[in-house]
Amino acid sequence: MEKSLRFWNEEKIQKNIFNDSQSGNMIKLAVWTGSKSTTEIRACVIKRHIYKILTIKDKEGVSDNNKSYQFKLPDGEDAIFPTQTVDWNPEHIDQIAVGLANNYVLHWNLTTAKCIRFHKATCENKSSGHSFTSSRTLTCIQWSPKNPNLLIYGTKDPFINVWDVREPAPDQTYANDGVLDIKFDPHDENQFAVASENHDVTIYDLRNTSTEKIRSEKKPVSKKFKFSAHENRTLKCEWNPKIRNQLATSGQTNIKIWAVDYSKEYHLHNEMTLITTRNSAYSIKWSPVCEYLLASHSHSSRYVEIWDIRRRFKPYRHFREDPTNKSKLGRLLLHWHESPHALLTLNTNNADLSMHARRDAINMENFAPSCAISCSPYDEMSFVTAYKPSKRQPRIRTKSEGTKDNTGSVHFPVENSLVDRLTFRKGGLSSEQPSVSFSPVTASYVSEEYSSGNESHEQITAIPDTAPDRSFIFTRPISSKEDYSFKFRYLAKNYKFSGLSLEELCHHNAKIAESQALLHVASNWRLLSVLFASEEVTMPFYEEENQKRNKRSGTVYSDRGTILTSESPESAEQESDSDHMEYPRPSYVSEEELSDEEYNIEPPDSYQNWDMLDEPFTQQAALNTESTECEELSDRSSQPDPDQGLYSFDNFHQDTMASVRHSRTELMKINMGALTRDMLEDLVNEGDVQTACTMLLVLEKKLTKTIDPMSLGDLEINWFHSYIDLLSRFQLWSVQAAVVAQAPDPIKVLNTKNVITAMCTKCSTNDKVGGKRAVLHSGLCSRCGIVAVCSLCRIAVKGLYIWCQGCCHGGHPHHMRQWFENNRLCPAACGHACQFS
Amino acid sequence: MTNEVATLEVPEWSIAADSALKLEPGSRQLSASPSSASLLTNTSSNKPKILLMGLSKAGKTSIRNVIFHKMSANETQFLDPTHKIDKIDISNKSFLDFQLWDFPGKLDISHLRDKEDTSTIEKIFVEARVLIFVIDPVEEKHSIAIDRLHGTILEAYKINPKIKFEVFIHKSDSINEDQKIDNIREMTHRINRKLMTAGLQDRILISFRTTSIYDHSIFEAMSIVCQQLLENVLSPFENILNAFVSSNKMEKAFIFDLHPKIFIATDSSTFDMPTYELCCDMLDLIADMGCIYQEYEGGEERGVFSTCSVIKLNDTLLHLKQINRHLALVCIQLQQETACTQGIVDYNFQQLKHGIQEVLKVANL
Repeated sequence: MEKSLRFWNEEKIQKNIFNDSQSGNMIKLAVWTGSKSTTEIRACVIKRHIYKILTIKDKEGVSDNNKSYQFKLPDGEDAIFPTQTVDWNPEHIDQIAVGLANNYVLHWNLTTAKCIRFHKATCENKSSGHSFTSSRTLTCIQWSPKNPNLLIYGTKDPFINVWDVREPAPDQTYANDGVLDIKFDPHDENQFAVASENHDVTIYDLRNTSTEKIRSEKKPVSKKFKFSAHENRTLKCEWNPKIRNQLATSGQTNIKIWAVDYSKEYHLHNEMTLITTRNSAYSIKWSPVCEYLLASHSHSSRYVEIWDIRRRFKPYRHFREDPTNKSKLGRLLLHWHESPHALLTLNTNNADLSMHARRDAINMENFAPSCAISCSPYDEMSFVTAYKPSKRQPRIRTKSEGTKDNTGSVHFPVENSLVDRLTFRKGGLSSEQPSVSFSPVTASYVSEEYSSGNESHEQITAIPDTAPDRSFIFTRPISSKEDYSFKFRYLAKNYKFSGLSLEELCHHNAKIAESQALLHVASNWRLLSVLFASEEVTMPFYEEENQKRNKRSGTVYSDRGTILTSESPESAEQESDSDHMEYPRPSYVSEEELSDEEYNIEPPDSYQNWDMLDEPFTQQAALNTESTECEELSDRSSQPDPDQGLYSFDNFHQDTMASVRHSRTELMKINMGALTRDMLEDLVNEGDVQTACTMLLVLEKKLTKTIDPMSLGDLEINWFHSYIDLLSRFQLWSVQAAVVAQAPDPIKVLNTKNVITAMCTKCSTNDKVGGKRAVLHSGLCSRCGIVAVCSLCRIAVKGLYIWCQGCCHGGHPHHMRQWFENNRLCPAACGHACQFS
Repeated sequence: MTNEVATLEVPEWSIAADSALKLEPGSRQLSASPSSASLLTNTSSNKPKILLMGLSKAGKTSIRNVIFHKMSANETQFLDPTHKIDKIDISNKSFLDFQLWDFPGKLDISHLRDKEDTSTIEKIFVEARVLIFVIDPVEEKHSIAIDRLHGTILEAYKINPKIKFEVFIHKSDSINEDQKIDNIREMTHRINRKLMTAGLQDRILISFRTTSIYDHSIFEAMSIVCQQLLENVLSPFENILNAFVSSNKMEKAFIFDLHPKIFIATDSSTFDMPTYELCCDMLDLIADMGCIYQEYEGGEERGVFSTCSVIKLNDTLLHLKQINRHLALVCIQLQQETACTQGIVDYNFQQLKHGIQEVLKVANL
């Protein structure tokens, strides 16, 4: 693009066209756009009713022959009225159309300096009871780009006239609100866009007018397409000469780019880009060469901005008038010439014609504060800004304040311009600031900070004092909706560590982690399944044995995982179900929900499937197994750095899955226990105790049986303690209980402390004096054998039983909840003020 | 009565004012004595009307009070709902000459039609020039408002096909820019669909404007509405101002009505809100000063209205000059070394004043 934006001569040409400066914003400019080959620009500069023809050539500059002409009315009178609008015929170099302030439209021959034809733009208005011809100011005039005889002009009266200059008067009239700009579509000579005083942009088709003429009958011609462009007036519209149906419109505060789509009648979402200008852009021009460039000028700002519409937040280039020269104040008329590619500006106030070269354009990028933004796989966003300490410091301060709002969710006050330049110049940054690096704000810490309402958890990690420009890295999680506490809860509730085969567990947990955008955790889970789950596939006999054992001890099997009835520890250590178990089995459902028959029917089929499946795998394994691959895998897995290993590993994982499975024997030679341990430690160092503990729970059997050096040390016990602690802080009691029940021995001890015995209502109330209380075992009193009943409905409680520890009365949880919503005392009328929580 | 064509000739001043004020005065104009606009105003039934309609709580009475009664925007929160049609005549103080009918929000024209109360409907819409329908974009009653608007438009068009429709999407201070344009689009879309089923979408032009009483947008919108009552003087005024602006190197010029603070003409160049607000504020300032210190009696008797002030802001000169009892010219001039001197501006202003008086004489206003 840089190449295509070559201005013709790297020098700026500037010349005052009219010597007296009393022009009063009445200068108009028309440029002949017909020439495609010559290297000269022809322009017609009009001051009131006097005009000059200029030729601008490279090296020679502007030449005007010092001749000025005057517009004359056809009867020979001088047309002393100021010119309102002008357009040069694109086909005939000697013809221009001029709209004068007295609403004469002149078709003017430049070579003979005579008026060919003229017409007075008036319209009869009968609406208010008396008829008169109104003649509000002509606002715009344009030749059709293809038909050299067709002229169109608009007035502030709500009419647009299309005039074939060979005819004495316009033959087509359209009703529109006060017209501000009319532009023919360069791709379709039959349609033109009209910007009007209200917010609308209307696109008319010349061919649609066959039925009604407004003069014959007071009925406006149906318009082709109309949409609301801006909130207030639409000042200008401009078709993109390169891209079909792309229209730029300028309003009071912004420029909008539209992709006009005629297929929908009133379609609301064809807005492509919104460029926010600081002032109303009174003049916009597309570059005829580069379809992305748009020049705009607003006369209160006194400079020309060139926008790249793909990067809409900062001007691409910027031409500034000399601010010290007050006489330069005035509106600029823009013209962007195609060949040679040059931007012409004409100051309407003092008639300075400028030919802008790229050299005097200001590249706005150089003025932008250098900053960068990037996301890390840890779901954090870093924002680096380099600034001059004197000027920019307050700005940084406000940024850090703005990042926190009441709800604790995180909003980055990232300015639009920042997002626009979302290229994190890693190389450049690291060369300047070698010490800058990501600081992982760990999940658990952040979540703790959130829960405790800590205000300032912004971590300023790198402030190298020696650096010329200071750089700050603000590291914080991007996720605003699901912050870490939410993630923690979600993971805790959805992680599974029992009830399925190891492989399924791993896949399930990987999916859970993925759903929370914790990609590195997910990949760790997959890794785990690759490393360990293969055993089940390659050891069908072991599986079978295991299944048979399970079948024999059916009751134990089905009781696994029920916590409240505190089953024997062996059941938890049972090998998981077969892979073909269809129904997902939640771990904490009481046994009634699953009938034993279903279990017993299922397994025999699955054995056969196993054998069938196993056959092709082993063959494939023979082909694929290569020790190098395995070594590669082990190398990778030994550094579970999510930054690097993450994405590549996923592919790798899928490619080599089959081979890895069957090269288990080679893998076993490598010290898998140490690898896993490394991985877990790494996870914990990142702060993810949760995943580490869940992995330990999933791997429990493997670790104890197959991997010798992996034993639970103090470290692991610490992990478990902290995880259980976290769970209780988040009030995830059931998960906590499940973890404890599933955990290895040193942890399970915790559970015994927490056992709260349920007591028989009858016996304990009778036998208060003795101090011995009858303990309920599975709903039956150990002493009297009476079933525990609900205090409210008097029916034996099956399932969850909730009781008061003070008076031993209890019942169905929902009954108790109902009761204590309205009452304070015990439902059994024992007078005890039970505390229901 | 044969049609007399009075062509305005502006002597020596050489601007576009000649451009054709072709009046074909109807019998109404001629029956009134040429110089007195007041005679016309007394026949109140013939006066042009502006109707202010909309659902309840849309802000109709607030608009009326803020513009014509100088109520401050904050006070409008405490207004009681309107229960009957309030007809206010603003001609006694103002250059403009019309009645503003403020309708209660409960009144639904299509209900009147259901009751076959045709005479009331006719009374409402005959002689009505502009119908302003106020919609509150925050309320969740869009579809009700659209239905009401649709019914009103159909009735009004039936009685008086020349009536112009303006929809004010009001209370725009409470919505952001995107919502504004979305609101406009939604409204336009829905009302056009409804009109299309009635087969009228090409005959009825509805203008949508976003307004708010907390900034100047309501004044601007009302100005544009009022300009539609002045069709016959609008284009000569505009041409005069065009010439004035170009010959004095002005940036922008407005002719304001003094009492309702709305502009009745401006030159043809486009302007933005800050410019307009600047002029409004200047007018406010001078008017307030005038209220305190000016002695009107002597001036009015002699027919001299000479309020005149120049304020300098950085590079900008603000001029305010009173044209006649009701009108004042406010213009913005950029100060440069080549700028016109005060003397030339004063001379040109005298010419402008003269031209405007000529126009008014011909237009019988």
